[in-house]
Amino acid sequence: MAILKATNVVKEFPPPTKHQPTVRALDGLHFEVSGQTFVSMVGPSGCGKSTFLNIVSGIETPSSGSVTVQSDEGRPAKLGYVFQDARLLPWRTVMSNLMYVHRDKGEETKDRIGRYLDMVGLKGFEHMYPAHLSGGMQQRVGIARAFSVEPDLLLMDEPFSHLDAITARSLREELQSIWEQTKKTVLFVTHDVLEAVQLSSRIIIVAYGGKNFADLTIDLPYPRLQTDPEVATMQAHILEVFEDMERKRRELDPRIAELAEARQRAREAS
Amino acid sequence: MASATTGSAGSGAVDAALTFLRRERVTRWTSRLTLLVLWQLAGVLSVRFPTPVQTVDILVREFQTPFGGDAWTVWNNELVQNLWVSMTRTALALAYVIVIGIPVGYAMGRWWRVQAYFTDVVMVGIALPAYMWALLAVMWFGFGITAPVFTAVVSATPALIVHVLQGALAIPRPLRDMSDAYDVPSLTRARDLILPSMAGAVIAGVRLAIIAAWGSVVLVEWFGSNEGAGFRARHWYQSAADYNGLMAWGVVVLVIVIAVDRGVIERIDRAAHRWRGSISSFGATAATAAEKTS
Repeated sequence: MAILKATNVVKEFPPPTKHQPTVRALDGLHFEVSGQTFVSMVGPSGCGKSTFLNIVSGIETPSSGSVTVQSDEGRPAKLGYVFQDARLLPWRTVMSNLMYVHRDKGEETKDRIGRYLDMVGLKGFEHMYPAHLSGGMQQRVGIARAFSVEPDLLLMDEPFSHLDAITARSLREELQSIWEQTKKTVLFVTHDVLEAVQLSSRIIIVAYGGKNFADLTIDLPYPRLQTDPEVATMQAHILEVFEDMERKRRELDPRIAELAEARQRAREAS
Repeated sequence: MASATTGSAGSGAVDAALTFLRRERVTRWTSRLTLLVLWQLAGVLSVRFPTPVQTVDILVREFQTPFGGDAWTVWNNELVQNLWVSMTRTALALAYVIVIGIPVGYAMGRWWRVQAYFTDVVMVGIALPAYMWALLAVMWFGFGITAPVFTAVVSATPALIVHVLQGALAIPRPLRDMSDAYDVPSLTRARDLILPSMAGAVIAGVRLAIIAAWGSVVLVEWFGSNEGAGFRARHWYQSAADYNGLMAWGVVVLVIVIAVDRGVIERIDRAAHRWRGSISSFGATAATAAEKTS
């Protein structure tokens, strides 16, 4: 288990050209995650969710503020990361791809990898190359890779967004089942509210500009299906929160309201 | 009935012949044979153009002539000894080229400051023709091993650097990020990510470097050495006024480049990209079948 602590995280990117302003992806994001929780960060595209995961994983550094991840035993926390795409080495087999992220290359590691490949339904595919696998199977390899390091904190960045609806649904159910067995601390990024409600025990809503907007607890029993009435009710509630967020944004920035009105007029005219 | 059978057999033979002619190997050999015929034709039509037979004849004579006044052996003759001198010079130069070119090219691709520092230097190396370096090197270092090796190094290194730089820039960013996220050790990363990503570009660069280095060594030997393939070619051209000898050494120089390319570089290239063969031989329906199984 891990404790993730984000304190006033700000991330600015240099302007794409000299005449453009600095891009602020995150603006004082703060929260704490601990224990056997499945936390989802939900927000509109471009609100800095993926940037935040990159900061947690060390790919990016924050402009100001801090992000710390501690393990229970006081050792450096181990992280697993499932990306939007599988990110596998095309010239290595499935087994070699999983071994790549392990320092210990012994039998025990191989056994553990085999166990997780079995969990994601890829037993027997160890010696195949990524190109032999479909997109869904490649993403399963990515999930097995992340779990096989037995992470203190598992980061998942819209892992099903590139997949077709049927494969995504089956993988969501598999993920739910694996999480129930392992109870890892998970930080999951998505812009799909229904997906977040189905999987998470807590949802952090991030507003445009990378600010905290709401923090909700999803107190529903597992396993959950997207067709469960409670899941649908919670989804409707969260969508209302999003509408509230959009309303406030329009109030704060009149130009957005003008743009929305112009769009409405154009729609009516057509 | 009988005529139908005959017709079918005939068209089968034509089909087989067409299939045979469409093979890549047949096309390549057809091209080589055409070249040989054209060469023979040019030799027959011009007194200044040696035929293939005359060229081979000179090479046999070079092989039969003892080297440096000592007794003839299979090892000690004009052909083998001069070739050996040029090849050792090229090998030494290539060692320098690889030791300098690969780290500098990689560093240029990896760190923009290094790229900014070396870009102009590499540009000078590429822009200045080998014969300029050759003349300068002979003036600076005189006859001996230094001039050909120096010329080969300065002519071949920039080509290798540019290729390695392109290879380093092509290392997939998503895979580098994944390696960062999992804190993959540098050595594992170099072996499993960086080298395979850059293999194609590095091999192409080394291939060009070999051609450039070999050409430079022969060029310097032409006017700044008293041994080697270039020296021997000049001997036939200038001292003996024998076009056959010049052509023969030209052919030797060419054959060495082709032999190294086919015998060494292509094998390394195939070994580096063996995984692609494993994928293509697997069959297009494998992924679908695997998905059904899972």
